[in-house]
Amino acid sequence: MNDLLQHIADGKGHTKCMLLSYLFISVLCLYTSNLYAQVNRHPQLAEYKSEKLFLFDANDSVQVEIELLKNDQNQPQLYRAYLSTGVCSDGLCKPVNIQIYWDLLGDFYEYETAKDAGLTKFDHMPFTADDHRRLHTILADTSSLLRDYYVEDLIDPQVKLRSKTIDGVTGATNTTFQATTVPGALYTVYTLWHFVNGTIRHRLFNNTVAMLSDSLIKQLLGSENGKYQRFMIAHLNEAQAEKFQQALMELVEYSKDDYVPHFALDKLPEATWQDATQYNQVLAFLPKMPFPVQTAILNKLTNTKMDAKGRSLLENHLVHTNSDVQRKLIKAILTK
Amino acid sequence: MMKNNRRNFLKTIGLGSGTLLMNPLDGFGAIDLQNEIKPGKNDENVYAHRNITTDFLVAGGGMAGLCAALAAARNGSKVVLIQNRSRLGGNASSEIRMHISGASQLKQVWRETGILEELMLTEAVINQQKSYEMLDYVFYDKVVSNPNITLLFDTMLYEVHTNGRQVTTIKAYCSQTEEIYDISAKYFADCTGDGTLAALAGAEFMRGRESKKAFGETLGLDKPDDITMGNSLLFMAEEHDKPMPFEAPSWARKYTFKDFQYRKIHSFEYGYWWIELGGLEDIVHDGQKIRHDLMAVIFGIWDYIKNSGNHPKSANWALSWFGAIPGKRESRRLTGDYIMTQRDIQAPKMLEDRVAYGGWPLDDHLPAGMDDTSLDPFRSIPLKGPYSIPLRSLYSKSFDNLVMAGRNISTTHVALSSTRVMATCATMGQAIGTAVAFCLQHALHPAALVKDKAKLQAYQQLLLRQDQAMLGMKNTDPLDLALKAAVKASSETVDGKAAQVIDGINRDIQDGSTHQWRAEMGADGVWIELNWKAPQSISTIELTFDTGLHRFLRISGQKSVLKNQIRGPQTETVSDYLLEGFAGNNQVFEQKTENNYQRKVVHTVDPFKADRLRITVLKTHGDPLAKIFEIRCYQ
Repeated sequence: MNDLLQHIADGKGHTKCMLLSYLFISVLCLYTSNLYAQVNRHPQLAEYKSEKLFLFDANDSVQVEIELLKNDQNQPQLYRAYLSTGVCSDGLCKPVNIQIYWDLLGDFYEYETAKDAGLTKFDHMPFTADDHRRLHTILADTSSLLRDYYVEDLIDPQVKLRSKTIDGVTGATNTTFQATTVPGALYTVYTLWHFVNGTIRHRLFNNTVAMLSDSLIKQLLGSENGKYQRFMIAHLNEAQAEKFQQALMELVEYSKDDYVPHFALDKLPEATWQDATQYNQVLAFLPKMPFPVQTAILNKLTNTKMDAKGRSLLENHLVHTNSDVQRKLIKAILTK
Repeated sequence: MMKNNRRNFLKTIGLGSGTLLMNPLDGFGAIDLQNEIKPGKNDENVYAHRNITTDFLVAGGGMAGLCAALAAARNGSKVVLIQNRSRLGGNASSEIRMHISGASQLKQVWRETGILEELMLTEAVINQQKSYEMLDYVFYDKVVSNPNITLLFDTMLYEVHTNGRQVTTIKAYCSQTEEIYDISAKYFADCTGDGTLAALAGAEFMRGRESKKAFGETLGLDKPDDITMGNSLLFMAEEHDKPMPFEAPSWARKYTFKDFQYRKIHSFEYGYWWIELGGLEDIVHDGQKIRHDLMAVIFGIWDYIKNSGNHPKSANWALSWFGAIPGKRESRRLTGDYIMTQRDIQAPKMLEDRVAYGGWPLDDHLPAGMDDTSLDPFRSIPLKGPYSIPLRSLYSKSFDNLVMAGRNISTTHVALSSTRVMATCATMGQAIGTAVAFCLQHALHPAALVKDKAKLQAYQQLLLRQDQAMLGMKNTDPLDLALKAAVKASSETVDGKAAQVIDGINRDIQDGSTHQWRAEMGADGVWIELNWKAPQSISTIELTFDTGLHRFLRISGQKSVLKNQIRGPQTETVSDYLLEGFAGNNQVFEQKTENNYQRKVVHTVDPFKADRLRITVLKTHGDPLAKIFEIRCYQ
């Protein structure tokens, strides 16, 4: 806020901006980018091939082209669009030139801006590295306050900022909402958030659902991404669950997500628990699993007549567990 | 025979006929039923009939009705308060134990003042043991100590009579005492939560969730529906010094680890607001089923905690209490002359007829509740600040003498998701109770009061004088002698000038000023004085102290909620002080007060004439500064 207030001063303007947005669909190969949000960067992003998908109306006058990026094994990785527009309020306009990436579920992934034509704040001050980090966090927050407030409501009518360079005055962000924006760039952040998290999300999500092939299912189930794992498990029908039984069992064994092993367990065909090869594969991992997963597996085995190997694996666990609940379950299984 | 009579009685009031309380007259319709209920020889003397006439009938003894009754009674009206339970406080009472939440949630400075603050300060001091039954007692004590209030417990409303735009009489009964009450009143308040009184009267009401289009609400639905938020039951548990086994009943629901991905079990002593069901059912008429389903959820969750093995720390914990009356969030919303919408909450305006405020987020709950644990149970949108509630949303557009406070006021579903919480409902209660007393004194009805600007201002000034939680209000009371005085003090801090005790603002309103006199406490105390050019006749001295309105102050079963509260007198508050009146150099009045813990204190004294009033602060409850927001004096 203080950064902003120091700009309240004289301010004779020289630029008149139109309250119109304008558009360029960029030629991506000529686009020089400067990456700020490194956190999520796909290691091979530069090597991805792009495939044009569809045109999308970002607003009344701006259309963007949505692309799908694939890796060298032709596996879908990310969605991408280049947005070039102007964001104006009270006669003060800021250019927005930004390349946006979404993941395969349509959630914001990252963005890139050009070094000399990137995002600016009040009075054309360029975004700092901090501002970029902040913007990244804001865009990734699907339930941001920006979703449910009109931009005018986020302004404090008591505080006015006078531009040094443009003949104009604009409002400052209300203190309560400062955490939800980048100081001096409310309209830009607001516009970007609504573009990134607007109806485009559903279009991208639906596009992924429509693309689901056996290979993509396998890719998503086998990804390290808990969100992808959850999505994929939820979308499997019974036949697919049988087909991808092995992948589901691996999620029970390896997923780092707290809940995925439970969802995978519930999706596994009932036959898994009558097939010694299958249940013994799961039981072999029992000692390494989180307690709630162990218990959930034991609950799945209550109607199983265990083979000798299974019995021995359970007897081994019986020795090591310190839980009455698990001891009781194992004893019940062993007496079957 | 007695059994038969009893059944007939229930039929008469609609209970036996299966129509419940909604339309008891249906029971009279069928000829066979009419024959059946023809009074037998022995019927007449079983239920005693009582006719009661009063100024103001308040139906419902929750936070809204309680504050409405107190406000009206304190302003001179005769009040009958009927409550269908034998405890006051509704959702806050020991029978339900929900938090009294409100604008404190903004985490700014906006804890509600007025009657609610008086109740909460009292409770914090006398109930340091944090017993919920003692919360009930605080409410009970305030009500029964007021001679203008007749409190009827266990009294069920079942019939309402009207004449044109007037509600004239209600009928209620108490099964414990076998009494039927016919209560006639000049004004009626529907603080039932469900809007039962108004619905029985035939007043217009809304239900369900509105479309985006209906009121221009972005949080509205594409298509309207009849769905509401669900009801909740809570439980409490205690830790023992040995393992405490628990066996769930056969009807308890079964839960596993994954049911709790959006519903975290952080502690065992009290919980959980997300034990919620019924939004997809008829939240009133399906209440019996919803209650049982909620019990099945409570015992299922406790079974999971105790017996899944996933919460080994629960071994020594055991249930000590569970609710049996579901706490309701939403049912009918009665239509007033103004319907509050999402805009009123998110982009508030200083409505001319503002009489109360709220500050809870727009907090809508998914109707499925515990029926679908794969979904996040709520969506809460924080507010930038408090918003005003207009009087036009607190009276029925259908009847001239019907007011309402609580979750059943005139709002959309979206606005209700914020206004529904109890601290907010309490401020509405004070607003309507005071409005009714004012209207009775001025022969007006509330709709006319809103239109009469001078009267409206006088009423708002009365509310402000009685410490009501309101926004953008300044003391301009022409009768307040203090406003005409010159102020000086033994000392003052840079940000606590003595003159601020008559700046008209009685709290921190986040405008950069403290709006209070502040002075470093000395060994002999510090003083502040009002000086008049000519002697004034004084019989009432009113003081407003600081009680730390930026903090939470509410009973809770949950340790984390109590953590930053002060259970006892609030540190900032002046404890001991001396009031002195002087005529010239002669002391003409003296009164010493000890152990004060209230924010608003009214001293009604034998009239004296003085040109100087001195308040010497002798002791605070720990604050190194003496702090007084406002001093008022009246003849």
